[in-house]
Amino acid sequence: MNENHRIEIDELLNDLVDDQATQRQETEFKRLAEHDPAIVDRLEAMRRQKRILNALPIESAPASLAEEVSSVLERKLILGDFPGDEQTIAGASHLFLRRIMTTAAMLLLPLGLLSFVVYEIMRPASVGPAIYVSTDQTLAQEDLNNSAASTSSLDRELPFNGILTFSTDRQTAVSNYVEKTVFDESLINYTVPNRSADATIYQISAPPDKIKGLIESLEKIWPLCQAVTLNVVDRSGNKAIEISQVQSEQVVALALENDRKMIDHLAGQYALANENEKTLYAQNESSELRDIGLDASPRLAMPILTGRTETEPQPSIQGQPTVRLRIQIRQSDE
Amino acid sequence: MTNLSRHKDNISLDDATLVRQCQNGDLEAMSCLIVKYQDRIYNTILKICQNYDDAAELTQDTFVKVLENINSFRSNSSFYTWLFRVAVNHTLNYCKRRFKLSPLSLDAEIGQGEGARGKIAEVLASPDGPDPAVVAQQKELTKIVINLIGQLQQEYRVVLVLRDIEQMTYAEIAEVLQIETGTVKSRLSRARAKLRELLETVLT
Repeated sequence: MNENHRIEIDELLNDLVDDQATQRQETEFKRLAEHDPAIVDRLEAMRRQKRILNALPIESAPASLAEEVSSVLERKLILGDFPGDEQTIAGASHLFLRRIMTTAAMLLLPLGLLSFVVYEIMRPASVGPAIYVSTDQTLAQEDLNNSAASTSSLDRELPFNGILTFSTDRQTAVSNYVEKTVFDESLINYTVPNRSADATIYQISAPPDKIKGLIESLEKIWPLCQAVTLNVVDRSGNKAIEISQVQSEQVVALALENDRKMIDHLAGQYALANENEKTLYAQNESSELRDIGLDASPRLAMPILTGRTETEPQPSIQGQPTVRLRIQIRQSDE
Repeated sequence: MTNLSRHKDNISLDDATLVRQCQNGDLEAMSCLIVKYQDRIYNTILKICQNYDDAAELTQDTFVKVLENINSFRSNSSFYTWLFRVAVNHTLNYCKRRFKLSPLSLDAEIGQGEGARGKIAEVLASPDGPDPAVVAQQKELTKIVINLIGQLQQEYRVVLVLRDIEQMTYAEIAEVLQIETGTVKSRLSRARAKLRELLETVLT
Protein backbone atom coordinates (compact mmCIF):
# COMPACT_ATOMS: atom_id res chain seq x y z
CA MET A 1 0.00 0.00 0.00
CA ASN A 2 1.56 3.24 -1.00
CA GLU A 3 1.53 6.39 1.14
CA ASN A 4 -1.15 8.18 -0.88
CA HIS A 5 -3.47 5.20 -0.72
CA ARG A 6 -2.95 4.94 3.03
CA ILE A 7 -3.78 8.65 3.45
CA GLU A 8 -6.91 8.25 1.33
CA ILE A 9 -8.06 5.33 3.48
CA ASP A 10 -7.29 7.30 6.64
CA GLU A 11 -9.40 10.21 5.44
CA LEU A 12 -12.19 7.83 4.47
CA LEU A 13 -12.12 6.25 7.94
CA ASN A 14 -12.08 9.67 9.56
CA ASP A 15 -15.15 10.71 7.62
CA LEU A 16 -16.87 7.54 8.79
CA VAL A 17 -15.80 8.13 12.39
CA ASP A 18 -17.17 11.67 12.23
CA ASP A 19 -20.37 10.60 10.43
CA GLN A 20 -19.40 12.81 7.53
CA ALA A 21 -19.06 10.07 4.92
CA THR A 22 -21.03 10.28 1.72
CA GLN A 23 -22.94 7.37 0.24
CA ARG A 24 -20.12 6.79 -2.18
CA GLN A 25 -17.58 6.67 0.66
CA GLU A 26 -19.66 4.16 2.55
CA THR A 27 -19.86 1.95 -0.51
CA GLU A 28 -16.13 2.29 -0.94
CA PHE A 29 -15.60 1.26 2.69
CA LYS A 30 -17.75 -1.84 2.21
CA ARG A 31 -15.75 -2.78 -0.85
CA LEU A 32 -12.49 -2.33 1.05
CA ALA A 33 -13.81 -4.30 4.03
CA GLU A 34 -14.59 -7.26 1.79
CA HIS A 35 -10.98 -7.41 0.68
CA ASP A 36 -9.40 -6.46 4.00
CA PRO A 37 -11.43 -7.30 7.14
CA ALA A 38 -8.74 -5.63 9.30
CA ILE A 39 -9.96 -2.27 8.10
CA VAL A 40 -13.19 -2.81 10.06
CA ASP A 41 -11.16 -3.31 13.25
CA ARG A 42 -9.19 -0.20 12.43
CA LEU A 43 -12.36 1.82 12.06
CA GLU A 44 -13.66 0.44 15.35
CA ALA A 45 -10.38 1.31 17.12
CA MET A 46 -10.59 4.83 15.76
CA ARG A 47 -14.15 5.17 16.99
CA ARG A 48 -13.14 4.01 20.44
CA GLN A 49 -10.17 6.35 20.45
CA LYS A 50 -12.53 9.19 19.65
CA ARG A 51 -14.90 8.15 22.39
CA ILE A 52 -12.07 8.21 24.90
CA LEU A 53 -11.23 11.78 23.90
CA ASN A 54 -14.92 12.73 23.92
CA ALA A 55 -15.28 11.36 27.39
CA LEU A 56 -12.28 13.03 28.96
CA PRO A 57 -13.44 14.80 32.10
CA ILE A 58 -14.27 18.47 31.82
CA GLU A 59 -12.14 20.61 34.06
CA SER A 60 -13.91 23.53 35.69
CA ALA A 61 -12.54 26.98 35.11
CA PRO A 62 -11.37 28.82 38.23
CA ALA A 63 -14.44 29.95 40.16
CA SER A 64 -13.27 33.53 40.36
CA LEU A 65 -12.73 33.88 36.62
CA ALA A 66 -15.77 36.05 35.93
CA GLU A 67 -14.98 38.36 38.82
CA GLU A 68 -11.35 38.67 37.79
CA VAL A 69 -12.29 39.47 34.21
CA SER A 70 -14.75 42.10 35.44
CA SER A 71 -12.18 43.69 37.72
CA VAL A 72 -9.58 43.77 34.93
CA LEU A 73 -12.10 45.41 32.63
CA GLU A 74 -13.10 47.95 35.28
CA ARG A 75 -9.46 48.77 35.97
CA LYS A 76 -8.82 49.30 32.27
CA LEU A 77 -11.91 51.46 32.03
CA ILE A 78 -10.74 53.64 34.93
CA LEU A 79 -7.21 53.94 33.53
CA GLY A 80 -8.58 54.85 30.13
CA ASP A 81 -6.94 51.80 28.63
CA PHE A 82 -10.21 50.52 27.21
CA PRO A 83 -10.36 50.51 23.42
CA GLY A 84 -13.62 52.35 22.90
CA ASP A 85 -15.34 53.65 19.83
CA GLU A 86 -13.16 56.73 19.54
CA GLN A 87 -10.03 54.66 19.37
CA THR A 88 -11.65 52.31 16.91
CA ILE A 89 -12.59 55.23 14.68
CA ALA A 90 -9.15 56.79 15.10
CA GLY A 91 -7.57 53.46 14.25
CA ALA A 92 -9.76 53.08 11.19
CA SER A 93 -8.91 56.61 10.05
CA HIS A 94 -5.24 55.97 10.57
CA LEU A 95 -5.47 52.74 8.62
CA PHE A 96 -7.38 54.48 5.84
CA LEU A 97 -4.76 57.25 5.70
CA ARG A 98 -2.00 54.69 5.56
CA ARG A 99 -3.75 52.90 2.72
CA ILE A 100 -4.15 56.16 0.82
CA MET A 101 -0.50 57.01 1.35
CA THR A 102 0.58 53.56 0.26
CA THR A 103 -1.57 53.73 -2.87
CA ALA A 104 -0.24 57.19 -3.68
CA ALA A 105 3.32 56.00 -3.23
CA MET A 106 2.66 52.98 -5.43
CA LEU A 107 1.30 55.25 -8.17
CA LEU A 108 3.88 58.00 -7.86
CA LEU A 109 6.92 55.78 -7.81
CA PRO A 110 6.36 54.26 -11.28
CA LEU A 111 5.28 57.68 -12.58
CA GLY A 112 8.48 59.20 -11.29
CA LEU A 113 10.53 56.44 -12.85
CA LEU A 114 8.65 56.82 -16.12
CA SER A 115 9.20 60.58 -16.10
CA PHE A 116 12.88 60.07 -15.48
CA VAL A 117 13.13 57.61 -18.37
CA VAL A 118 11.22 59.97 -20.69
CA TYR A 119 13.43 62.86 -19.63
CA GLU A 120 16.54 60.78 -20.26
CA ILE A 121 15.26 59.97 -23.75
CA MET A 122 14.05 63.45 -24.66
CA ARG A 123 16.73 65.71 -23.21
CA PRO A 124 19.47 67.16 -25.46
CA ALA A 125 22.47 64.97 -26.05
CA SER A 126 24.73 67.30 -24.13
CA VAL A 127 24.48 70.54 -22.33
CA GLY A 128 26.55 73.37 -23.72
CA PRO A 129 28.81 75.60 -21.76
CA ALA A 130 26.08 78.00 -20.75
CA ILE A 131 27.66 80.52 -18.50
CA TYR A 132 24.49 81.98 -17.20
CA VAL A 133 21.23 80.27 -16.56
CA SER A 134 18.59 82.48 -15.17
CA THR A 135 16.28 81.04 -12.61
CA ASP A 136 13.85 83.85 -13.10
CA GLN A 137 10.73 82.61 -14.84
CA THR A 138 9.77 86.03 -16.12
CA LEU A 139 12.85 87.02 -17.98
CA ALA A 140 10.79 88.78 -20.59
CA GLN A 141 9.28 91.05 -18.00
CA GLU A 142 12.48 91.59 -16.19
CA ASP A 143 13.28 95.18 -15.72
CA LEU A 144 16.54 96.24 -17.24
CA ASN A 145 17.77 97.77 -14.02
CA ASN A 146 17.00 94.59 -12.17
CA SER A 147 18.88 92.71 -14.79
CA ALA A 148 21.85 94.96 -14.38
CA ALA A 149 21.68 94.73 -10.63
CA SER A 150 21.59 90.99 -10.72
CA THR A 151 24.61 90.76 -12.95
CA SER A 152 27.18 88.55 -11.36
CA SER A 153 30.87 89.26 -11.07
CA LEU A 154 31.35 86.80 -13.92
CA ASP A 155 29.05 88.94 -16.08
CA ARG A 156 31.08 92.00 -15.31
CA GLU A 157 34.13 90.29 -16.75
CA LEU A 158 32.35 89.63 -20.04
CA PRO A 159 33.66 91.85 -22.86
CA PHE A 160 30.16 92.39 -24.12
CA ASN A 161 26.87 91.90 -22.37
CA GLY A 162 23.78 93.14 -24.15
CA ILE A 163 20.08 92.78 -24.56
CA LEU A 164 18.80 93.00 -28.12
CA THR A 165 15.08 93.62 -28.28
CA PHE A 166 13.04 93.17 -31.44
CA SER A 167 9.63 94.79 -31.25
CA THR A 168 7.52 93.50 -34.07
CA ASP A 169 3.94 92.89 -35.01
CA ARG A 170 5.02 89.55 -36.47
CA GLN A 171 6.35 88.11 -33.26
CA THR A 172 5.80 84.48 -34.12
CA ALA A 173 7.48 84.69 -37.51
CA VAL A 174 10.45 86.59 -36.08
CA SER A 175 10.75 84.18 -33.14
CA ASN A 176 10.69 81.20 -35.44
CA TYR A 177 13.32 82.73 -37.63
CA VAL A 178 15.58 83.50 -34.69
CA GLU A 179 15.14 79.99 -33.38
CA LYS A 180 15.95 78.50 -36.75
CA THR A 181 19.00 80.72 -37.08
CA VAL A 182 20.22 79.77 -33.62
CA PHE A 183 19.96 76.18 -34.67
CA ASP A 184 21.56 76.74 -38.07
CA GLU A 185 24.45 78.60 -36.51
CA SER A 186 25.09 75.68 -34.17
CA LEU A 187 24.39 77.86 -31.21
CA ILE A 188 21.77 75.64 -29.67
CA ASN A 189 24.10 74.43 -26.97
CA TYR A 190 25.09 77.97 -26.11
CA THR A 191 21.52 79.11 -25.80
CA VAL A 192 18.98 79.04 -23.03
CA PRO A 193 15.57 79.71 -24.54
CA ASN A 194 12.72 81.03 -22.50
CA ARG A 195 9.17 82.05 -23.25
CA SER A 196 6.75 84.26 -21.46
CA ALA A 197 3.33 85.68 -22.19
CA ASP A 198 4.63 88.63 -24.18
CA ALA A 199 8.17 87.77 -25.21
CA THR A 200 10.42 85.06 -26.49
CA ILE A 201 13.93 85.16 -25.15
CA TYR A 202 17.17 83.54 -26.22
CA GLN A 203 19.98 83.92 -23.75
CA ILE A 204 23.16 83.26 -25.71
CA SER A 205 26.60 83.01 -24.19
CA ALA A 206 29.10 82.29 -26.94
CA PRO A 207 32.40 83.39 -28.47
CA PRO A 208 32.18 86.74 -30.32
CA ASP A 209 32.60 85.21 -33.78
CA LYS A 210 29.58 83.04 -33.25
CA ILE A 211 27.53 86.02 -32.13
CA LYS A 212 28.72 87.82 -35.22
CA GLY A 213 27.56 85.00 -37.48
CA LEU A 214 24.23 84.94 -35.76
CA ILE A 215 23.58 88.66 -36.05
CA GLU A 216 24.53 88.65 -39.69
CA SER A 217 22.13 85.84 -40.32
CA LEU A 218 19.42 87.77 -38.51
CA GLU A 219 19.78 90.87 -40.68
CA LYS A 220 16.69 89.80 -42.62
CA ILE A 221 14.43 90.36 -39.66
CA TRP A 222 15.38 94.00 -39.15
CA PRO A 223 12.88 95.20 -41.76
CA LEU A 224 10.16 93.17 -40.07
CA CYS A 225 10.56 95.04 -36.79
CA GLN A 226 9.08 98.34 -35.76
CA ALA A 227 11.89 98.87 -33.30
CA VAL A 228 15.19 97.17 -32.56
CA THR A 229 16.86 98.20 -29.38
CA LEU A 230 20.15 97.18 -27.84
CA ASN A 231 20.74 97.68 -24.15
CA VAL A 232 24.39 97.38 -23.21
CA VAL A 233 24.96 96.34 -19.66
CA ASP A 234 27.93 98.39 -18.65
CA ARG A 235 31.02 97.38 -16.78
CA SER A 236 29.66 98.15 -13.36
CA GLY A 237 26.74 95.91 -14.10
CA ASN A 238 24.12 98.14 -12.57
CA LYS A 239 22.99 100.27 -15.48
CA ALA A 240 22.67 100.04 -19.24
CA ILE A 241 23.13 102.15 -22.31
CA GLU A 242 20.16 101.98 -24.60
CA ILE A 243 20.75 102.16 -28.34
CA SER A 244 17.48 102.67 -30.13
CA GLN A 245 17.07 101.60 -33.75
CA VAL A 246 20.33 99.72 -33.49
CA GLN A 247 21.78 98.31 -36.71
CA SER A 248 23.06 94.79 -37.05
CA GLU A 249 26.54 96.10 -37.86
CA GLN A 250 26.52 98.04 -34.62
CA VAL A 251 25.63 94.93 -32.67
CA VAL A 252 28.38 92.98 -34.37
CA ALA A 253 30.90 95.72 -33.77
CA LEU A 254 30.09 95.79 -30.08
CA ALA A 255 30.12 92.02 -29.77
CA LEU A 256 33.56 91.77 -31.36
CA GLU A 257 35.05 94.40 -29.14
CA ASN A 258 37.31 93.05 -26.40
CA ASP A 259 37.67 96.19 -24.36
CA ARG A 260 34.83 97.00 -22.02
CA LYS A 261 35.78 100.64 -21.94
CA MET A 262 35.57 100.79 -25.68
CA ILE A 263 32.27 98.97 -25.68
CA ASP A 264 30.80 101.55 -23.34
CA HIS A 265 32.16 104.36 -25.40
CA LEU A 266 30.96 102.92 -28.69
CA ALA A 267 27.57 102.17 -27.25
CA GLY A 268 27.24 105.77 -26.13
CA GLN A 269 28.20 106.97 -29.58
CA TYR A 270 25.77 104.66 -31.32
CA ALA A 271 22.99 105.68 -28.98
CA LEU A 272 23.65 109.33 -29.71
CA ALA A 273 24.00 108.83 -33.43
CA ASN A 274 20.88 106.77 -33.72
CA GLU A 275 19.02 109.27 -31.62
CA ASN A 276 19.94 111.87 -34.20
CA GLU A 277 18.66 109.56 -36.86
CA LYS A 278 22.07 108.88 -38.20
CA THR A 279 21.92 105.51 -39.76
CA LEU A 280 25.60 105.14 -40.16
CA TYR A 281 27.93 105.61 -37.33
CA ALA A 282 29.86 108.61 -38.22
CA GLN A 283 33.19 108.85 -39.82
CA ASN A 284 34.18 111.42 -37.27
CA GLU A 285 33.84 108.82 -34.58
CA SER A 286 37.33 107.65 -35.26
CA SER A 287 38.79 111.05 -34.77
CA GLU A 288 36.89 111.51 -31.54
CA LEU A 289 38.13 108.24 -30.27
CA ARG A 290 41.61 108.99 -31.32
CA ASP A 291 41.31 112.18 -29.23
CA ILE A 292 40.89 110.10 -26.17
CA GLY A 293 43.77 107.85 -27.12
CA LEU A 294 41.86 104.77 -28.19
CA ASP A 295 41.88 102.94 -31.38
CA ALA A 296 38.20 103.17 -31.90
CA SER A 297 37.81 102.00 -35.43
CA PRO A 298 34.61 100.07 -35.29
CA ARG A 299 34.87 96.74 -36.89
CA LEU A 300 32.13 96.77 -39.40
CA ALA A 301 30.43 93.59 -40.10
CA MET A 302 32.13 91.64 -42.78
CA PRO A 303 30.44 88.97 -44.76
CA ILE A 304 31.69 85.71 -43.51
CA LEU A 305 30.87 82.18 -44.25
CA THR A 306 29.51 80.76 -41.09
CA GLY A 307 27.26 78.06 -39.94
CA ARG A 308 26.61 74.62 -41.32
CA THR A 309 30.28 73.80 -41.06
CA GLU A 310 29.83 72.70 -37.47
CA THR A 311 27.50 69.83 -37.27
CA GLU A 312 28.24 69.18 -33.64
CA PRO A 313 27.96 71.95 -31.08
CA GLN A 314 31.32 72.94 -29.75
CA PRO A 315 32.05 74.28 -26.34
CA SER A 316 33.74 77.61 -26.11
CA ILE A 317 37.38 77.52 -26.93
CA GLN A 318 39.69 77.66 -24.00
CA GLY A 319 40.91 81.21 -23.47
CA GLN A 320 38.56 82.75 -25.98
CA PRO A 321 36.33 85.45 -24.46
CA THR A 322 32.67 84.74 -24.19
CA VAL A 323 30.07 87.39 -24.78
CA ARG A 324 26.50 87.34 -23.74
CA LEU A 325 23.62 88.48 -25.84
CA ARG A 326 20.04 88.19 -24.81
CA ILE A 327 17.67 88.40 -27.76
CA GLN A 328 14.12 89.32 -26.89
CA ILE A 329 11.28 89.30 -29.39
CA ARG A 330 8.27 91.28 -28.23
CA GLN A 331 4.98 92.22 -29.72
CA SER A 332 5.18 95.78 -31.02
CA ASP A 333 3.08 98.35 -29.16
CA GLU A 334 2.53 100.36 -32.32
CA MET B 1 -31.58 35.15 43.76
CA THR B 2 -27.78 35.11 43.66
CA ASN B 3 -25.77 36.65 40.87
CA LEU B 4 -24.63 33.27 39.69
CA SER B 5 -28.14 31.84 39.43
CA ARG B 6 -29.30 34.95 37.54
CA HIS B 7 -26.39 34.44 35.12
CA LYS B 8 -27.36 30.85 34.59
CA ASP B 9 -30.90 31.91 33.73
CA ASN B 10 -29.58 34.45 31.28
CA ILE B 11 -27.34 31.88 29.62
CA SER B 12 -30.44 30.58 27.92
CA LEU B 13 -30.45 33.83 25.95
CA ASP B 14 -28.83 33.39 22.57
CA ASP B 15 -25.35 34.72 21.95
CA ALA B 16 -26.51 37.46 19.61
CA THR B 17 -28.76 38.96 22.30
CA LEU B 18 -26.05 38.76 24.95
CA VAL B 19 -23.52 40.32 22.61
CA ARG B 20 -25.92 43.14 21.77
CA GLN B 21 -26.46 43.78 25.48
CA CYS B 22 -22.70 43.76 26.07
CA GLN B 23 -22.27 46.26 23.26
CA ASN B 24 -24.73 48.49 25.08
CA GLY B 25 -22.54 48.28 28.19
CA ASP B 26 -24.58 45.70 30.09
CA LEU B 27 -22.11 44.27 32.62
CA GLU B 28 -24.45 41.46 33.57
CA ALA B 29 -24.58 40.27 29.99
CA MET B 30 -20.78 40.21 30.01
CA SER B 31 -20.82 38.01 33.09
CA CYS B 32 -23.35 35.75 31.42
CA LEU B 33 -21.13 35.25 28.42
CA ILE B 34 -18.18 34.45 30.66
CA VAL B 35 -20.12 31.91 32.72
CA LYS B 36 -21.57 30.35 29.59
CA TYR B 37 -18.23 29.71 27.92
CA GLN B 38 -15.58 29.74 30.63
CA ASP B 39 -15.34 25.97 31.13
CA ARG B 40 -15.19 25.18 27.43
CA ILE B 41 -12.59 27.82 26.76
CA TYR B 42 -10.59 26.79 29.80
CA ASN B 43 -10.60 23.12 28.78
CA THR B 44 -9.63 23.83 25.22
CA ILE B 45 -6.77 26.06 26.31
CA LEU B 46 -5.68 23.54 28.92
CA LYS B 47 -5.49 20.74 26.36
CA ILE B 48 -3.43 22.92 24.04
CA CYS B 49 -1.03 24.48 26.54
CA GLN B 50 -0.96 21.56 29.01
CA ASN B 51 -0.55 23.76 32.06
CA TYR B 52 -3.27 24.60 34.61
CA ASP B 53 -1.91 27.98 35.70
CA ASP B 54 -1.26 29.12 32.18
CA ALA B 55 -4.69 27.91 31.10
CA ALA B 56 -6.38 29.95 33.85
CA GLU B 57 -4.43 33.07 32.91
CA LEU B 58 -5.00 32.61 29.19
CA THR B 59 -8.72 32.06 29.72
CA GLN B 60 -8.94 35.29 31.66
CA ASP B 61 -6.95 37.14 28.98
CA THR B 62 -9.21 35.74 26.30
CA PHE B 63 -12.38 37.04 27.93
CA VAL B 64 -10.78 40.40 28.66
CA LYS B 65 -9.72 40.71 25.03
CA VAL B 66 -13.09 39.67 23.67
CA LEU B 67 -15.10 41.94 25.94
CA GLU B 68 -12.76 44.87 25.33
CA ASN B 69 -13.37 44.51 21.64
CA ILE B 70 -17.00 43.47 21.76
CA ASN B 71 -17.99 46.64 19.89
CA SER B 72 -15.89 45.64 16.92
CA PHE B 73 -17.63 42.26 16.69
CA ARG B 74 -19.87 42.06 13.63
CA SER B 75 -22.64 39.51 13.41
CA ASN B 76 -21.47 38.11 10.09
CA SER B 77 -19.72 35.35 12.05
CA SER B 78 -20.86 33.57 15.18
CA PHE B 79 -19.73 34.80 18.57
CA TYR B 80 -18.85 31.23 19.52
CA THR B 81 -16.27 30.81 16.72
CA TRP B 82 -14.96 34.34 17.25
CA LEU B 83 -14.41 33.62 20.95
CA PHE B 84 -12.61 30.36 20.18
CA ARG B 85 -10.53 32.04 17.49
CA VAL B 86 -9.31 34.60 20.00
CA ALA B 87 -8.65 31.89 22.58
CA VAL B 88 -6.76 29.57 20.23
CA ASN B 89 -4.68 32.34 18.66
CA HIS B 90 -3.84 33.81 22.04
CA THR B 91 -2.86 30.39 23.39
CA LEU B 92 -0.73 29.49 20.40
CA ASN B 93 1.07 32.82 20.52
CA TYR B 94 1.65 32.42 24.22
CA CYS B 95 2.97 28.88 23.82
CA LYS B 96 5.31 29.94 21.05
CA ARG B 97 6.66 32.77 23.19
CA ARG B 98 7.10 30.82 26.35
CA PHE B 99 8.28 27.52 24.84
CA LYS B 100 5.88 25.73 27.08
CA LEU B 101 4.79 23.21 24.55
CA SER B 102 6.83 20.45 26.14
CA PRO B 103 4.48 18.53 28.37
CA LEU B 104 5.35 16.61 31.49
CA SER B 105 7.71 13.71 31.04
CA LEU B 106 5.76 10.99 29.30
CA ASP B 107 7.98 8.24 30.68
CA ALA B 108 7.28 9.37 34.22
CA GLU B 109 3.55 9.23 33.60
CA ILE B 110 3.79 5.83 32.01
CA GLY B 111 5.83 4.54 34.87
CA GLN B 112 3.19 5.63 37.32
CA GLY B 113 0.23 4.33 35.33
CA GLU B 114 0.76 0.68 34.54
CA GLY B 115 -2.87 -0.12 35.33
CA ALA B 116 -4.16 2.66 33.14
CA ARG B 117 -1.97 1.51 30.24
CA GLY B 118 -3.60 -1.89 30.43
CA LYS B 119 -7.02 -0.33 30.34
CA ILE B 120 -6.24 1.75 27.28
CA ALA B 121 -4.88 -1.26 25.47
CA GLU B 122 -7.98 -3.20 26.36
CA VAL B 123 -10.30 -0.44 25.16
CA LEU B 124 -8.55 0.05 21.85
CA ALA B 125 -7.93 -3.59 21.07
CA SER B 126 -11.35 -5.08 21.41
CA PRO B 127 -14.82 -3.90 20.51
CA ASP B 128 -16.11 -5.95 23.41
CA GLY B 129 -13.76 -4.29 25.92
CA PRO B 130 -14.73 -1.82 28.61
CA ASP B 131 -16.72 1.26 27.69
CA PRO B 132 -14.25 3.99 26.64
CA ALA B 133 -16.40 6.67 28.26
CA VAL B 134 -16.08 4.93 31.61
CA VAL B 135 -12.37 4.25 31.22
CA ALA B 136 -11.72 7.85 30.23
CA GLN B 137 -12.94 9.06 33.61
CA GLN B 138 -10.05 7.31 35.37
CA LYS B 139 -7.58 9.95 36.50
CA GLU B 140 -4.36 8.20 35.53
CA LEU B 141 -5.62 7.28 32.12
CA THR B 142 -6.76 10.84 31.57
CA LYS B 143 -3.27 12.08 32.38
CA ILE B 144 -1.70 9.71 29.90
CA VAL B 145 -4.08 10.65 27.10
CA ILE B 146 -3.70 14.36 27.73
CA ASN B 147 0.05 13.94 27.77
CA LEU B 148 -0.06 12.12 24.47
CA ILE B 149 -2.16 14.91 22.97
CA GLY B 150 0.57 17.23 24.14
CA GLN B 151 3.09 15.20 22.15
CA LEU B 152 1.35 16.11 18.90
CA GLN B 153 2.51 18.94 16.73
CA GLN B 154 0.75 22.16 17.55
CA GLU B 155 -1.33 22.35 14.34
CA TYR B 156 -2.54 18.76 14.75
CA ARG B 157 -3.17 19.13 18.47
CA VAL B 158 -5.42 22.17 18.00
CA VAL B 159 -7.57 20.47 15.36
CA LEU B 160 -7.85 17.30 17.43
CA VAL B 161 -8.87 19.22 20.55
CA LEU B 162 -11.45 21.30 18.71
CA ARG B 163 -12.98 18.27 16.99
CA ASP B 164 -12.74 15.36 19.43
CA ILE B 165 -12.94 17.23 22.71
CA GLU B 166 -14.80 20.48 21.93
CA GLN B 167 -16.77 18.58 19.24
CA MET B 168 -16.84 21.38 16.73
CA THR B 169 -17.89 20.70 13.15
CA TYR B 170 -15.32 20.84 10.36
CA ALA B 171 -16.77 24.16 9.22
CA GLU B 172 -16.51 25.68 12.68
CA ILE B 173 -12.91 24.54 13.04
CA ALA B 174 -12.15 26.02 9.63
CA GLU B 175 -13.68 29.32 10.74
CA VAL B 176 -11.82 29.35 14.06
CA LEU B 177 -8.46 28.57 12.48
CA GLN B 178 -9.24 30.45 9.27
CA ILE B 179 -8.19 27.56 7.08
CA GLU B 180 -9.94 25.47 4.44
CA THR B 181 -12.24 22.61 5.45
CA GLY B 182 -10.08 20.23 3.43
CA THR B 183 -7.08 21.28 5.48
CA VAL B 184 -9.04 20.64 8.65
CA LYS B 185 -9.86 17.12 7.48
CA SER B 186 -6.32 16.25 6.50
CA ARG B 187 -4.89 17.67 9.72
CA LEU B 188 -7.45 15.80 11.76
CA SER B 189 -6.67 12.58 9.95
CA ARG B 190 -2.96 12.97 10.64
CA ALA B 191 -3.56 14.02 14.24
CA ARG B 192 -5.61 10.91 14.95
CA ALA B 193 -3.12 8.66 13.19
CA LYS B 194 -0.28 10.21 15.15
CA LEU B 195 -2.15 9.87 18.43
CA ARG B 196 -2.85 6.24 17.59
CA GLU B 197 0.85 5.70 16.95
CA LEU B 198 1.72 7.30 20.27
CA LEU B 199 -0.84 5.17 22.07
CA GLU B 200 0.57 2.04 20.46
CA THR B 201 4.07 3.08 21.52
CA VAL B 202 2.87 3.49 25.08
CA LEU B 203 1.01 0.21 25.09
CA THR B 204 3.79 -1.97 23.71
